[in-house]
This record gives sequence, C-alpha cells and structure tokens, in this order.
Amino acid sequence: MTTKNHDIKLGVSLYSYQDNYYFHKHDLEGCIAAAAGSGATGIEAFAEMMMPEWPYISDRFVDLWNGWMRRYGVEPVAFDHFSDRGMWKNKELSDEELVERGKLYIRMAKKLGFPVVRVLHHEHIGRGISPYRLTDVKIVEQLLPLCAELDIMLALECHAPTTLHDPVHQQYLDMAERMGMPYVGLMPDFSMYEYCVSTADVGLAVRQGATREILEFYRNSQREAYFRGEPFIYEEIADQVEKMNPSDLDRNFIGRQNHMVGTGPESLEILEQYASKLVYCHGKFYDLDQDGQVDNIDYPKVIQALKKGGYKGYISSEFEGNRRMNDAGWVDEIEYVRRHQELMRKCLAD
Amino acid sequence: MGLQMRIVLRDILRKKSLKNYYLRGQVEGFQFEVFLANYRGHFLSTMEQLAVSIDDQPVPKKDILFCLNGKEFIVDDLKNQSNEFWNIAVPATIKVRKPGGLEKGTHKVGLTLVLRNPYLPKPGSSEPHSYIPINSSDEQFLELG
Repeated sequence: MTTKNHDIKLGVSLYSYQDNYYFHKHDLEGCIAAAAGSGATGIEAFAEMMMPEWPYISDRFVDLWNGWMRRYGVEPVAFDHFSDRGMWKNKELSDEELVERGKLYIRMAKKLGFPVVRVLHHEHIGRGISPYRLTDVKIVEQLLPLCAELDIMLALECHAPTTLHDPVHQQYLDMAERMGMPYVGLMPDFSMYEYCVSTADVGLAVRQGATREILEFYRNSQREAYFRGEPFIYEEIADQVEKMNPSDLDRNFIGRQNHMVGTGPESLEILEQYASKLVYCHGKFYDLDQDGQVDNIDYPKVIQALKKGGYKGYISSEFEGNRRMNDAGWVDEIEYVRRHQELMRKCLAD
Repeated sequence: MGLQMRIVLRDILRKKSLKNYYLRGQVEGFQFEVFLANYRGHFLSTMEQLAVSIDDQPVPKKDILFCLNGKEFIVDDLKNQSNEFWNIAVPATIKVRKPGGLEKGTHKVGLTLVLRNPYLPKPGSSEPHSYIPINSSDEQFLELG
C-alpha cells in the first residue's frame, strides 16, 4: 500500500486473531488469509501461539509457510520473541540459556523469512516492577553478532507506561553503536499514545462489578483534557470521584489506568524525531468507535507524525480488544482488523 | 490466588472425550482430553499443579498420566519437561489408571491445572520464582457412552 509521499506499509499481528485460532475457527493458514483479506501485506507471527511444531520448525513447515506467503500475497515482517525466563519451578533460565533461547528465535526468524525479531525487556510493564530481567541489554549484546551474521533486526518493544526517549531504551542503542552492529532498534507500541482508557476496558470492568457512572466520568475527564490540549491531572477530579462513592473495584481500575495512561499520550514531537530510526511499529487498539476511529488513540496524528518524521517500515495492527470483550460474547476480530486497516490506509493517504 | 490469567471461552475439559482405555484387552482405566486455557502455548515444565478428581473422589497422583506429543508423563516428571511444548490448538489426554474403568453414564470430572506464565513475573514480588499463574482448572459433567 505504498503511495507517493511515504514509505510505510501495513501488516497484521496474528495475535489479533487469537480467539479465532483458539476456537478452531481459523487455523494458521486461515489467519494469514484473514490478514491478507484486510488489505495488509505483512504478517507478524508468534510461534508459541500458532506454529504447531514450535520449537522444532521443520523444513516441511517452512515450505508450507512460504507457500502461504505466496498464495496470499503477503510477506513475513516480524517474529515475536518471548523471554520465558521461568522455565522451572525452582530455577530460572540462566543468562547463557536465555541467550541460546534468543538465538533459536533469530535462526527461526531467518528460516521463515522474517527480517525482524520483536524482543521484550522486563521494563516494558513499567520501571522497577519486575523482579526478573528478561531480554535486557546484556543479553541483547550477546545476540547482536548472530543478528549481524544473519541480517536480522531486533525490535525493542516500547510500551506504555515507558516512552521512546526513556533512558531504559537508549542504553540498547548506545551499546549497538559501541559494537558497530546496528541490529537493535526501537519499536513503539501505540499504547504509548493512549489519551484515555478504552471503552473495552470500561465495559469489562463494569461486567466485573465496577460502577459504570464512575468509570465513564473518569474516561470523559481524560478525553476532555486531551481535546483541550491539557495534561490530565487525576487529583483535579479525585474529589468528584470520591463523592460518587467508589468501590474497591473502581479504585483499583482508576489506579491501574493512572499508571498506564498517566497524564495523557506521550509526545508526538518525540515520535516524529525518532521516526526515521524506528524499525517497526505496533498499531495497538482495543476498540473502534462508530466513525471508525480507535476510541482512545489519535491515529490520524500518530500516523502523521510517523510520516512527517520519515518512518520507513511496517505498522501492524495489534488488536487486543478480544481479551477485554470476549467475556460478553464473540468478538469479530477479523472485522475489527479490517476496519483498523481501513483507518490506517486513510491516515496514510491524508 | 490473586492476580492470575485465565481464558475460558470453550470447555477446558473436552466434551465427548471421556472414555475407558484398554491395555492388553483389559480396561486399564479412563481418559479425557484437556485444552490449555491460555492465548499461547507453554512448555510442560511450566506446569505447577495437576490433580484430578472423579465423582468428587480425588485420584492418587501415581494413577495420573499426562499424554502429549505421543508421549506419556507421570505427574512428578512434568516439571522436567522443558522441551515438550503444549500448543493451544492441541488437547492433552489425561489417563487415570483404574482397572475396570468407569461405568457408563454421567461422571463429574474435576481438574486442577495451574501453570506459570514464565515471562510475566509477579509485579513487585520479593519472593523468588514468582510468576503470574495461568489457571486452566475446570469441572464438568462428562458422559461416558
């Protein structure tokens, strides 16, 4: 879907179709076909979810995979690496073992034609929260020579509540530069640009017993602050929330969301500054409103920043609403992704 | 259990899977199939608890076999199986040794199955080896035809 004034392509993370896979409605080929049907040209996959032979991918499977790519007119764009550190009840993988595990993903990515391996570091959920190190800078350092040999780029997922210009991320880039091996780059997950809690989260919390009125008041206050162009300061509405007599569920919900969304979306100027150096993007979304907009992320502005900053690469739809809405009934992931691709195409054309 | 992950969208205990199994022409016990209640698969060494009850009677651990990828594992050996991967699209078979098996009709099958999420450390925990659990337990009335 490349047009004249940008070099951005659109993909789908098959994570988006997890219920279809789980319920045996679509197998791996069916999910690839659904992604192609949405208009996307790229596929992000993760082996632990949908590759039946994992971790022993046979040549026979590689042939099948390549055949699907050709048949559906798509290409592999990113392969997800998990840091399964806690492999045994009383023992974690050592750093050496985690490095070997990392190499397995890199080799498999190469075998399946993926140019990028997504890596997770332990601070993607926020600083100082995780007691374990996942794929940290020491481990990435040992993976870079193999990446250089096989020409595989590691994409460090930068997730809310961290930011792109967080020192947590900079140390990876500094290390790659020191080594002269530019095979790790940053990958923003659009959760960083959430300006309010999603309707999908509100719905789920209400079904679990939280108070709709309070959660909607909270969400509306976040939205109003965003559209006024001001940071959202929870303390300014805390008194009003208290007057509504919140339950523990309501308080936990608000506490969690204050941690994730904070005072509002991360800076789009920073995104624009970083854009030309980014290696991949996750087009995260949970719900779409009736106008086809993501209900809590300003996609037109986010994509504009990437375009203006000269981002070259893929943005993949990563639908996470399924897990927030499927307790209430079937969530049509395929339709959600199709509409999301439509929105991103429109944003790119503008 | 506190913070945990659990995806229950279909039956964990697979309907119509309860049957007696045979060894050398004799009914050696009964078996049923189980899906993992998660969005991704895991290595068997991440299993922390596996217990079975039948008609409210707990089954002794030594009589349980967990069968996957063409292999049978005793419960105590699961913790070592860090190379056996359980894909979410593939049910595991649980065999319970019980000479003579079960009678025809409806039986209440109880399954306790808890795994570790090996990439999701429990936030803020100071305990060693603490990860967010995945609860894949279930209880169903299954028909043995």
